[in-house]
Amino acid sequence: MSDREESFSGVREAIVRTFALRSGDSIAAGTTSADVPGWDSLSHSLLLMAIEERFGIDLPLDRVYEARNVGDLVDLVEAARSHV
Amino acid sequence: METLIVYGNCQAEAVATVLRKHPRVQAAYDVVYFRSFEHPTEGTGILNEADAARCRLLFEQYDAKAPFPSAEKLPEGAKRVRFPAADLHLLWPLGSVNPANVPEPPRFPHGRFSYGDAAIIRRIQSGATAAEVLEYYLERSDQELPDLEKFLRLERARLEQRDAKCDVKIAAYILEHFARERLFWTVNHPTHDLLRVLINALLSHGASSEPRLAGMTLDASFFAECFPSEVLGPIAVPIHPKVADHFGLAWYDRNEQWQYYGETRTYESYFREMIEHGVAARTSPQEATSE
Repeated sequence: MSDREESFSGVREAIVRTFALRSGDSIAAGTTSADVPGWDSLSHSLLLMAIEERFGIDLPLDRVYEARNVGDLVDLVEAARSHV
Repeated sequence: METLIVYGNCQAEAVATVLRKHPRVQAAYDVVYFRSFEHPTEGTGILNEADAARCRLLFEQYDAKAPFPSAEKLPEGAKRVRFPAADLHLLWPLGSVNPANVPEPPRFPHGRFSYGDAAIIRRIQSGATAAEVLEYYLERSDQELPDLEKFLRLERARLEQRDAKCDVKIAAYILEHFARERLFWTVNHPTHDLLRVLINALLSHGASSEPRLAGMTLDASFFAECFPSEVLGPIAVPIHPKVADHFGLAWYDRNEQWQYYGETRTYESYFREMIEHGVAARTSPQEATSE
């Protein structure tokens, strides 16, 4: 598994956990908050927490609320992991 | 008469409700609430063309996903004041969508337990009994709480970044006062104390172009007289004791009777009912959702 695939897998895992989904099968890079029940601006913070815990990283605060989809979150994870 | 339009979620509706009661606002404007979301029983908001054409002042709640959709209908001189939603997830870090919750009008148009709890939902989904879930929640849910200082850092960033897109700012007030004053009943339902701060900030901004609002502020006695019951307080979601301890919530009472649609619940009874409701929905969705 490549680093990016690993990042994607971890983000998907965090989404499933945060939003109590039964499965992450429908989560793709293009998935947006509108596609996941309960993913709003409030719960976005919880998702970010779950992602940070999952990877042991600090996400860049100035960019985390601008992410438009799962792919953007994976990009942020990749950038943060490269600085660990 | 000119209109003062308030656009946004249930908080915006509360703002409109409060403003309508004030004699000076009543004398100057027709206050119109324009819903930004789809209500489970009342549907989407509709702005009357005539109300839009008479608009003098628009209080627009900022929402990147639901911007005010009728800007072209407003007269040229209408003043727009953009304000943020007042919300805070910090006190409910296990907050989640509740998959067992469904609208049950007329008493529960948003459902009985519209504010879910991730620790409870995970246990229910794992197949545990109601008694097992409750025991776990009361005795061991501490371990599911996130790093609260990290969460504070994220919430601060969220609130401040949203404030940056608004004329009215509320983040600093919330972050400075939430531990010593009760500002929220739920993640997105502010108390009268916070609602008053928000409305006064709106009036102050509006007054820059509207002399009729100059010097106008609402005090606590106005709220007490006009709204003996909290406008957004039909339900108060219990706060985890460890969260209260961590943030040193001065107003927190472990033995509080939490408001629940005209009744009260203890911390334990609230979660017991939520768990039983969730387990019933898991085993028999139809029965669980009927009155």
